[in-house]
Amino acid sequence: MYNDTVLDHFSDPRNAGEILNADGIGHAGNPTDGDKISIYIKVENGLLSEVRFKTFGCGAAIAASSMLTVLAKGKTLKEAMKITNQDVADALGGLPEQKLLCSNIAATALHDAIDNYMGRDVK
Amino acid sequence: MILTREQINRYMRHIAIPEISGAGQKKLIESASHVFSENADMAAPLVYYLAACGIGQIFCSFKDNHAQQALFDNVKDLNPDVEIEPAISDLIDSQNAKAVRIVLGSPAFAREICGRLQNPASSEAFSPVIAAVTQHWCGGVQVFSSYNAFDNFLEMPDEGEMKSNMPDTTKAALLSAFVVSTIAVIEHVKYCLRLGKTLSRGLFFNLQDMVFHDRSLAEAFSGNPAVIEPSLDTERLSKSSVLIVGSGGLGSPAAYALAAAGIGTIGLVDYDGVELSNLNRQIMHTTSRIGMPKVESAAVFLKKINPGLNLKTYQTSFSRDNALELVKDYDIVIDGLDNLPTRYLLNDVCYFTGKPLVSAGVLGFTGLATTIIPGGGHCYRCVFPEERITGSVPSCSETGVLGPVPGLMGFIEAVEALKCLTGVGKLLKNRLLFFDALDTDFYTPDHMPDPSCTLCGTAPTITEVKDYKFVCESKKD
Repeated sequence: MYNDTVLDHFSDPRNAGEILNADGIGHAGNPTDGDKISIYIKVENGLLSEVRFKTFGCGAAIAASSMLTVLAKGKTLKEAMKITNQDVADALGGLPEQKLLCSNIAATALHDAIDNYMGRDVK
Repeated sequence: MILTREQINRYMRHIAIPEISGAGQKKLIESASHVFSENADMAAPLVYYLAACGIGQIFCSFKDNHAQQALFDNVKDLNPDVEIEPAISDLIDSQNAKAVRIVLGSPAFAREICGRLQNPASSEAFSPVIAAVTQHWCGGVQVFSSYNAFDNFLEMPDEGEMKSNMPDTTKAALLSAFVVSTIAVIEHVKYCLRLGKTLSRGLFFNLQDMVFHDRSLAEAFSGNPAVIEPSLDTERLSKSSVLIVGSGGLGSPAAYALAAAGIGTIGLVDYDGVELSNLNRQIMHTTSRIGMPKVESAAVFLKKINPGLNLKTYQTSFSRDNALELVKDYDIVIDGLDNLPTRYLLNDVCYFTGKPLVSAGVLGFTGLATTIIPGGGHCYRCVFPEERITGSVPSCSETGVLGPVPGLMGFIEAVEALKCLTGVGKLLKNRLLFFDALDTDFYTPDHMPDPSCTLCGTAPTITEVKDYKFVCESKKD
């Protein structure tokens, strides 16, 4: 069902876990499918110095979260906002059709985390 | 990749749990277990769940070797990754030095083995001993993490020792052995992965009343043996019939325990075929039967446990169209489903036909069970009204579950069904059972019928069996 890149990121996720004093936290979830993704970011000099995730869900959701953190780390906030869920799926070499809607939502959570950071910055 | 493609698929439901992930599963594969038991029949579920979890090496010391080879053959087919063999020595040696020890049996048997393990032949570091003790309807589990921890258990005077020196061969003792076995496997996993709270305080339960207490084995099994009566009416059981809807994670242990207890007729409903990712928990199925309809695979397994069993298989989904027809000939129904819409349908059908329904559900490290007696207690909708649930159901995802957790809940479902059929003990009627594997916490709050329930309340709005849409289907449009 999943290709080797997806299985690799699913079974050996990169950047899993929370950031205790995160600069921004974002969430995305498709509650009807049970997948819940939280993304934690640290921002230094306008760059995402650390990106971590906590995901409850299926293999595709975990792999997508892991890949998203790899894609986003080191990027500027502007660049990171341009990462789409499709980019994540492409980097994973594709996800099964029925998983694209439910589980491929990590980029949405990242955008939410950046919005959260920006909001905090204004205050 | 840290695991092979096949391993990732096999342990997918474990790996999906953040606390386990691929790294944790790898640790389990590298771990070993040394099982001490009175005989292979009693130890079988313990060994099956260890193997399904992916514990890489299993050494067995059975007092009675009968049927050991058949068990080993089944285990190798369930999970060919696992090495299972008779232990060379009961004591710590180079072969099993790092193995977690699991001692399963009567209080007298457990004391005998624990006494031997307390006096190590070598100076190896102590590896923990999980003692899983059964006495008729009662059982207890405790993890001993040091030499000294045994002291109280071993020193307890045991007046009933002479009497209880014979293996307890009652059906009730077999059922409590199955229940303690799944808890022991959970403790093994927790120990290997340093997860949750180790059960060093001890757990004691009585399945007859379905009550659970924090209690050390020394305290629970000192002095006179627990009350032996009542025994299960095997004559009555041989004339009884149970319909199990779903033959997966819950249906496997439920059917296993019912067959082992000598139930006359089992009906099994499942439309699905066996997949590799089922095998971390669905112990009726095996690697060589991947692709076979689950009900057929289950038939192979159950016929070995009880050749006299009258098994009826229905390879179909459970739907509004066939629900009434399926349940009508059975005395009681067991819920082995994996989704809420069908669970509501099953609840409603059992209510309208007056069939007792034992229900359970699992997710991750947690489980829930309850027994629904139409006209005599709450129904599923009293606990989980449909409107409160809509839109938050992890139904079609592959959210993870630790293998022995559905094992435990399925065995508990079988015990409830057997008690209900024979009129023994106190059911989970108007009660819920919550289980948290990380803390080994059992909680059984009361739950009275809800007068405003849409099905069994005073002004019901559901007056006939209706259809429930699968959330995933509705999402596609």
